[in-house]
Amino acid sequence: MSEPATNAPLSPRQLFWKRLRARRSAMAGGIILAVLYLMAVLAGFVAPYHYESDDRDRFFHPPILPKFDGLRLVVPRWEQKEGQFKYAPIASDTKPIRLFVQGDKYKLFALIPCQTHLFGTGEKSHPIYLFGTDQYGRDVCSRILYGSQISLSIGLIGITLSFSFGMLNGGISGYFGGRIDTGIMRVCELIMSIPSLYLILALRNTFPSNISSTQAYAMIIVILSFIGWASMARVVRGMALSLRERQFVLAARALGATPWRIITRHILPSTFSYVIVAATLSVPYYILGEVVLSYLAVGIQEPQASWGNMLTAAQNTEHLRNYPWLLAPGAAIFVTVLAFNFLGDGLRDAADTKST
Amino acid sequence: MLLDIRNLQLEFGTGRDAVRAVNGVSFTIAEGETLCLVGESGCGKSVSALSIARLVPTPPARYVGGEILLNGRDVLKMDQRELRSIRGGVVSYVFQEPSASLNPVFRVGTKSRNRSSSTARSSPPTTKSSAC
Repeated sequence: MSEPATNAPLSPRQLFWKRLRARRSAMAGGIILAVLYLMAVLAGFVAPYHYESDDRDRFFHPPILPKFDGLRLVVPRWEQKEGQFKYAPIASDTKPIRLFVQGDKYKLFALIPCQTHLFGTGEKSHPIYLFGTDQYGRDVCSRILYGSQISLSIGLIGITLSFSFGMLNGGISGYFGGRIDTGIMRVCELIMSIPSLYLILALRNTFPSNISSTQAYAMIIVILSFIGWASMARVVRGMALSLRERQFVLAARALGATPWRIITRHILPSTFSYVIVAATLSVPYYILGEVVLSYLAVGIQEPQASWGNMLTAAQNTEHLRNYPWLLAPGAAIFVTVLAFNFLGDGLRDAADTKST
Repeated sequence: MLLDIRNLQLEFGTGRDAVRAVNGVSFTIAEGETLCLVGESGCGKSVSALSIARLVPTPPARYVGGEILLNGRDVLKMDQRELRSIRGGVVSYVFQEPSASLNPVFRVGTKSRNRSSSTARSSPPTTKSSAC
């Protein structure tokens, strides 16, 4: 009689991945984010134009979309009509879209000077403005790609900073208890009790008004992290309070482990499943924080592109009515936030083994 | 004498509601000896044993009398650093439900990596799970 085949039980990690893969929306969110981050890293290459290159003949140009001509994708030439900023395509005059065309100069990874772009026509007479141009004639699609570098990285760096700081404080607070706990928690509550928008603006004003874009970028991260760590610290502190009563913590103490070792090697790793989910669901707030700051003109400055400062054109209702493609950064924000939320929900459901 | 506990007294809580969990316990253990403490549930066996390395958390608990002499040094008067040096080396524990003493985050085989980063022991016990 042959042995029945037995499946070895899955390790917790394998079980988690299996459950995550079963959730379609989470996988979709994850794939979208992977694509967005990849495009952000290669922004100069993927974008057909540089974020500063302005086309003085084509202010407020509507989106130029490619069409199929047989099996090729082609782009028509547009010409100016009477009236201000009115354009129309000439269907007969088309040029094909090619890959790896030469175009504006840029620096790949901010280091390597490069001139090759992923796609384009290669002809100045036939520009390809997938989302049209803005008030200075700059390609909105390219600026969205360059802006994604700022917005997406602020999200990741911001949560890394604030969650590291928050986890550490939460672990220390929960493990030691007593006056240390009280002190740290009161500070957290103080930070959380001030409405975040006002806190952000107040913190912004502690920095000088005219700062370079790199400094603005660092400042935004510092401000958002300063606000963000408090809520993470509170939750981690609660988890630490219960974890420190567990027997493996007592066993570690009985072996002479220092409090630092217990907190960092035993208590905090047990909070990871919560922290990772909370981090994924918090990234949108950092992205939106940057959008708010730049929208209010106290964040990333022109000519640097960020999703926030591109939306300042949305303040003008005339522009919105006549040139709605200027809202494309809003669509980018929407897709990004949705993807993070789907992924975060999926991670949370996959980690919670008590649910299906 | 390796271990000499004299008239140990331990209370939980303060004031009139204080409960004296250990009331005048004394025993000695010489090198090479094995001592077995037997008693009904809740009589203070675990608390007495945990006191040897001062593992009972002292905000709820208070040592109100007695001394615990380990190799001649009183454990109840040691500072934290000296306590950590005796824990795991001179004094170590195997708790009830030993599997609960393992941190579920780590794999059991992380032995040598973990050990190398902790302080050196003068007299290491023969087996020590590194998942603690």
